[in-house]
Amino acid sequence: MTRSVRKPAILLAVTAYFGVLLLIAAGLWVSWQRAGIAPDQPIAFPHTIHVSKLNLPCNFCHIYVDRSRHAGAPSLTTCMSCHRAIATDREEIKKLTRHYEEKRPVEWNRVYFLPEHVYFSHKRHVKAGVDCSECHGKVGTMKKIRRVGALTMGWCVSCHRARGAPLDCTTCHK
Amino acid sequence: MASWGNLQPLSSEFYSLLRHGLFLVLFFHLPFLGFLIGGSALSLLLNFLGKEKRDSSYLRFSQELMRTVLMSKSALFIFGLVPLLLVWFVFARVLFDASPLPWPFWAGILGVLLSGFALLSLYRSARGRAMDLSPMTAATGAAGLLALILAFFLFSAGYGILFNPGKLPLLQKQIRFFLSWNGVVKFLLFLAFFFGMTGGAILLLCGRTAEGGEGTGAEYRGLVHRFGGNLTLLATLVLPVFLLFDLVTLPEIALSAEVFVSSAVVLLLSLAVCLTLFLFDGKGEGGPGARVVFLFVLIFLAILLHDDAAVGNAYQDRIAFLAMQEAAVEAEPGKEARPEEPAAAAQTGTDAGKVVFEKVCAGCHRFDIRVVGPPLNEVVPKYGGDAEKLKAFLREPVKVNPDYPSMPRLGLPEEEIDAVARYLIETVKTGGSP
Repeated sequence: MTRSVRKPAILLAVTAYFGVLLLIAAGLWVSWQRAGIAPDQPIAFPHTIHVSKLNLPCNFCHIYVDRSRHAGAPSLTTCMSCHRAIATDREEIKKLTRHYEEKRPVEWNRVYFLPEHVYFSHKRHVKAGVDCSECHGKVGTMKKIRRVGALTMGWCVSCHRARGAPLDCTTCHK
Repeated sequence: MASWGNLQPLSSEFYSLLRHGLFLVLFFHLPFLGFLIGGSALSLLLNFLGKEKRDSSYLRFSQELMRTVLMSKSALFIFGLVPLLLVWFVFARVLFDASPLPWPFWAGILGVLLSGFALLSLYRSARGRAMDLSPMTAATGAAGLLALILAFFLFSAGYGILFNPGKLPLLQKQIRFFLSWNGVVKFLLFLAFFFGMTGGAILLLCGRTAEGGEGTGAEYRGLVHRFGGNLTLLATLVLPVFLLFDLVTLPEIALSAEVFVSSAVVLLLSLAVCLTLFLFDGKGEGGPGARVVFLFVLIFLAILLHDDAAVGNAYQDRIAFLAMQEAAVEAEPGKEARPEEPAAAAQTGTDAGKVVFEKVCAGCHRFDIRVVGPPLNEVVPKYGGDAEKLKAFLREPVKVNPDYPSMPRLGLPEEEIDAVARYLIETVKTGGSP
């Protein structure tokens, strides 16, 4: 008698338990998607062609990478210096040209974020001989840029520790 | 200290082959190791309980378990050692391609594992001989089990790094990066799987014995059934929690829809295991044994697919990079063929220059018209035939005319710079068209 009452209750409890776990998994999925490791960009700029095919060095376009905190997205003038003549019939280049002519900067979607309380300088890292691909991966293989480095504090600190870079709090938190 | 550092770099196909090969080997090896760990742990526990309660059916169960999980030496060899060496090979090749992890480290893990196997074999034969074990024998078994678990923990740590290739450069600098949360979670996840699977197998064997009915007391069967069922239930309730932790500790680059979907499949299958345990709780043929074992095979497949997809995501750009390099080498047979034609060396000088020009320069430069860069007939004569000066510019281009974008540094090898410089000067001199 008691057994027949208890059984459905146990079955329900177990199902509810797995239901909650499934919900958590779904939540993790949604938060991963929201985190957008490869956001769409207003212009589908292919690093594959510029890096792998043309062998352009990173600082050909990201000219501030070794002299500023920010690597910087290239100005439209840099793009147009080649694309005035090259591949002008492509849809994406036409978009680029319109931006240039209307003096409207391209609003690229950020792939790598750092919170405001973190001080990070590209210049320092380039000067220390950290290769771009150590944090950004092989961008030459990416049609659309994906976030490779996690940019979490543990991730930063591991590398600082391994390379013997400063571990003082104020190095990154000014 | 030897290192793996001077091995040839992997090709993209070899990478994929190793990756899928790894999961194929694991498919056979892990269940074996799982039964060994799960079975011996349970056997030791039963031995302890049997002594406490002075109940011989516990001891008998303990004995039977050891006999089943360590069937023969050849099984140990085929499912234990051979796959393990293969897995080691893959780890050494994929993970530590350029890492100076010392060979004593690897030999140490293998030694721990081998001594685990040996101690458990000793325990098994002692267990088989007598019902009542000396504390010494039980300690041997426990030491064997601990050695096995330790070796499996170290294996899991390496396995965890497989999912986070960004850590490899760090590992080269300090060995402590060998440990990661993901590795710990993988260890716990597989351990839960091992115990669940062992419990399922016990239920299956219990059902079989009931069919055979060879003088097995109902009390004994009840004990075995209860143990198997509780073990499976506990493990199946815990396993999905570790799976969720795995999703949290995997680097975000390793995640994808496949990884999440396969996790959901594992959760649903675990639910199915629990429901099966409750709905078919008979001890005989209608018992849950066969169903639970079948569901655990599916869970194992789903976990391996989950891991295979995650490794694939994590290595996506590396494999694509290798494939691109290979494609570039294939498209340029001249690069390797050139040293074989020493005959017309002087003439190939400008020919080689032409090849370089067409490959590297022609994208932006023509001789007669402006493309991206200036027409070469205009700029090359400024060097007045001085190849050295032109070569210096090609090595380290500087912006000369503000009307044009600056030329990138090409990073060409010296002989290509030499060839293309001579080719440019020659061509401009003789009329300026190739």
